[in-house]
Amino acid sequence: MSIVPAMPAMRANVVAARERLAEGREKLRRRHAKGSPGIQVCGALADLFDTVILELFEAARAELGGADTADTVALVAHGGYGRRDVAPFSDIDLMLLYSAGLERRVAPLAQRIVRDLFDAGLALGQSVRTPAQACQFARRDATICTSLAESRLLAGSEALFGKFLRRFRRQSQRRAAALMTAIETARRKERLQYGETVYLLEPNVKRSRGGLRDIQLLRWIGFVRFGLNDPDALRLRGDLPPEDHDAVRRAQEFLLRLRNEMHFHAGKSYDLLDRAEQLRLAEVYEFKGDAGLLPVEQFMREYFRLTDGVSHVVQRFIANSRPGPRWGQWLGLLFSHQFERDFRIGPTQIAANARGLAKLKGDLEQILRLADLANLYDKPIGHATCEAIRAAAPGLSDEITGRTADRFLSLLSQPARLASLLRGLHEMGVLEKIIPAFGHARCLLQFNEYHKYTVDEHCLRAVEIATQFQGDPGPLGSVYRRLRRKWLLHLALLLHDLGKGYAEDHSEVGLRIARETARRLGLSEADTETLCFLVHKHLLMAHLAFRRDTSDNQLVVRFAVEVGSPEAMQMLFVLTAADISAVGPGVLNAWKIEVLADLHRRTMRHLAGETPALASEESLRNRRSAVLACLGDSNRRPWFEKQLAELSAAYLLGMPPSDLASELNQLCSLAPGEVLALGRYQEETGTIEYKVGTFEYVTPGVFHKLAGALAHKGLQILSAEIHTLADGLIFDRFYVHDPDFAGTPAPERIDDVCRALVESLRQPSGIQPVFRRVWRAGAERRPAALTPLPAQVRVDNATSNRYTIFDVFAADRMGLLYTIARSLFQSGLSVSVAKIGTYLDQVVDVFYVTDQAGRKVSDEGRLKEIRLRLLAAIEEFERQESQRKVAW
Amino acid sequence: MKKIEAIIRHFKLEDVKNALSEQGIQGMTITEVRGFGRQKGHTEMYRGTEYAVDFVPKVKVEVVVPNADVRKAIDTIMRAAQTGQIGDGKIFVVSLDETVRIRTGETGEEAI
Repeated sequence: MSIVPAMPAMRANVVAARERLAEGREKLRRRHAKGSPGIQVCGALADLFDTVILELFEAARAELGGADTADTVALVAHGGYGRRDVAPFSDIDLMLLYSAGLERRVAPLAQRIVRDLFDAGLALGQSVRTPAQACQFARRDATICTSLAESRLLAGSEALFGKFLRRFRRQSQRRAAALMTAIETARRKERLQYGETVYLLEPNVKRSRGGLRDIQLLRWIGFVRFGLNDPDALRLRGDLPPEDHDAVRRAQEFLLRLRNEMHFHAGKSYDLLDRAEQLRLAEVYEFKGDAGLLPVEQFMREYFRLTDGVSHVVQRFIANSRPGPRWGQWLGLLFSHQFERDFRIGPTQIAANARGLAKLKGDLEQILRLADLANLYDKPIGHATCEAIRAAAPGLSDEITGRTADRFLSLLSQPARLASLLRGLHEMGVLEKIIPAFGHARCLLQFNEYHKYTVDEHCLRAVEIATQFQGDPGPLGSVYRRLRRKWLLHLALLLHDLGKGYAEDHSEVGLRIARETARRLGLSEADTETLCFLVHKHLLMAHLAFRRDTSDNQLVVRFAVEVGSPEAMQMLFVLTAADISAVGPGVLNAWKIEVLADLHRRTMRHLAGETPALASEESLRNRRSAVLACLGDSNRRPWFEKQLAELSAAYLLGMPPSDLASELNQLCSLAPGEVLALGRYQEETGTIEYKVGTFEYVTPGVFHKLAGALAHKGLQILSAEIHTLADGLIFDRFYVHDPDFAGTPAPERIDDVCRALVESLRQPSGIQPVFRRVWRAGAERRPAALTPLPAQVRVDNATSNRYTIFDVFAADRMGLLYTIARSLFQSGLSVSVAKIGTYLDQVVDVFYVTDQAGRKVSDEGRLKEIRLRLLAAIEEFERQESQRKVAW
Repeated sequence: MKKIEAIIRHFKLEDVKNALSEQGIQGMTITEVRGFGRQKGHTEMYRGTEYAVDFVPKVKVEVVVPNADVRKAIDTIMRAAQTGQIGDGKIFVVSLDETVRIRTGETGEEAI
């Protein structure tokens, strides 16, 4: 190589050291390739470095005439090298320790040894300190402190090294509590930088959570707290339980060997387990793969299982070794209270007492009760209680009682600290007792360029992100906050990707998991349907929003039909956003939210009639004052104000203030029991707008009677709205198409229809419409609609406070609205808001109804009966229709 | 060498990508962008209620092609991205001085 002549100053012994290092590494590489355990290869590497460093150190000392430094200088290995678990290309941490006052004599030696070791090809981290300085630095910086905790004397004065070590140990143990906090903080900072969760899909084997650094963390805490840094010694002393010790040993062996492999292969220091490296290692480790799982996914699952274990052991060890200040415990007792004599709720945490602990063992319901309480009080569960649950978890039965299911659903309903509790339940092995599919998803890697977390972590994260929407100022926050039954959304998020890791499409497997989970939890038929829909179709909205033209109304209507109810739509919107966001940091951006919110808004128009948060309060106030200004001053002003307050935003903003003012004037003059009907042709849309104002008490079933009158006159109803105003005043608006008149209908025609509308409310049974058949061009389109989708009726009790919402999807026929409205009337329901939408052949009708007493219909049985009756009415209507057609 | 920047409807991305790679034009950069052109964003009418949507979400596609392929690339993008409605987007063509492949140091058309 050309580098050597460029450094003429390199002496023969340095060149020899360089060669020896290269040879030694190569020999060890072969030993490693033959399968030598990681810890042995690391040890042999440390021996190799020792030999090289000692030789160069002694040579330098001899040459600089430093025989007199024998008692005043010591060469100390620390960090990973001190611990003897160096990887082939690790940094070598060295400290030259000297007696105070000898700076000038030590400096040339230090310079020389640093240069020689560097030239020999070692990556060096060096320092030159007196024992006092070293201790001082360690005091200030937790990282230096932890590195020096692994000190090992290489050469020089034993007395000096001993002096340093005693002082360092004394200092560390005296400041144990503060030091532990500092060490943990430093580690947390590092972990944040390299990925906080174990399941980061491209982990750093040293620095990511659960990596080698966490095993070292255990040693350091052991050193600070008990003066012992060897896990074996900690186990013997009883500070580390045998099963924890085994878990750490297994993981350590795996990780050390893995890191050796990575260094040897890269020919340099390389700790990042990236995708290319994962694929290569899966082959090296001879993973074979199986149906639904790639070899690399199996390999990474092994990796995650082991690092996951380390992460838990270390957390536990730290929590158990924290020196508890006695006054803290007393304060805790003072400011806490008992809950049903089983649990103690303190200022910082909730924990089970002896009686509670006994109850928790082997009883899933009690565990969930505790979790539910923790969520309610927004406090974490105490460490010892968690340990008790973890120990009891494997013995829990998979059977779920009704009470257990209730506890679980109650837990899911509160966003407070739901995500961290669910994560805790998962880590303790409890969650899979409720949802067995979670066991399969544990540590399951998704090998693609897209996901950053394993399946279980992705699902938990999705729940977490949804709960964070609680404070979101945008559309996601406003939708999430208004969701009444958040538990259903949270459950769907928890399940949505659990179908992964099988050969079959994960949405299909997910559907089966959702159905099984709903059965286990005893969900009602309707809830089961919503849950299954959300899990099965969790990709649908993203697919449409990002891949399809959502300005195409047909597409939006088809989507609305598939979603079925406003509640399901709201949930799917939040679920989609949370799912995308849980893929990795920064994946959900404002651009994507906007595209999703647009589709959500377009779909909600069809499903709920009203678009929420459409207009600002301010614009509504302005519009009301404008209308009042047109009405002028009169003693009727309070009445106008009252009615304006009841008018819907869409209606208020939908026409010029002067027109609205004249309408209100007419309504105001309406005598009790009278009916007002107005008709107006709208040129731009080619439709006629009919409005009817009257009082609720005029006749029962106003809406269906009006619909019947319009159908009787041969008009096609395109859309309809009901506005219920103050003092029992109702104001209905219909947009219709008149097939008998192309263009502007004659004024007599409009008058005729208005008369029919008024008449229909005067007759007790309304007008029984007679449906005519006229040959016209539009009829050719009919055959396509002969085999329409079966009609659907969905009930939504969650979206509105005051009303039960019925969504009806059916093929368009003249008279359909009348049929639906009459059936609702016959079921004893009063329609307060209706939104009728017709799109080519598909009708999407929304009805906000109450029972006669003005309450929501909440009885499941009654709802089912109404639904079936409505379906039967539509089917009967369609049957008659097709018979008429055949005869004709 | 030219750089072609196309601002297209986001749901046309898949079509444009496929069409370009069918034409042998490989490699592209995608950015999620928002903006408006002549239509000045759009105002949605919902039953008479107006609400403004200032910036419309779009996708920007950037491809670099040799001079000989510029026509072909533009035609391909146009065919794939057109719906005929307002808001189909625009294509900008920019002259490029140099291209360097970072890994190998190749320059010019070799590096595309």
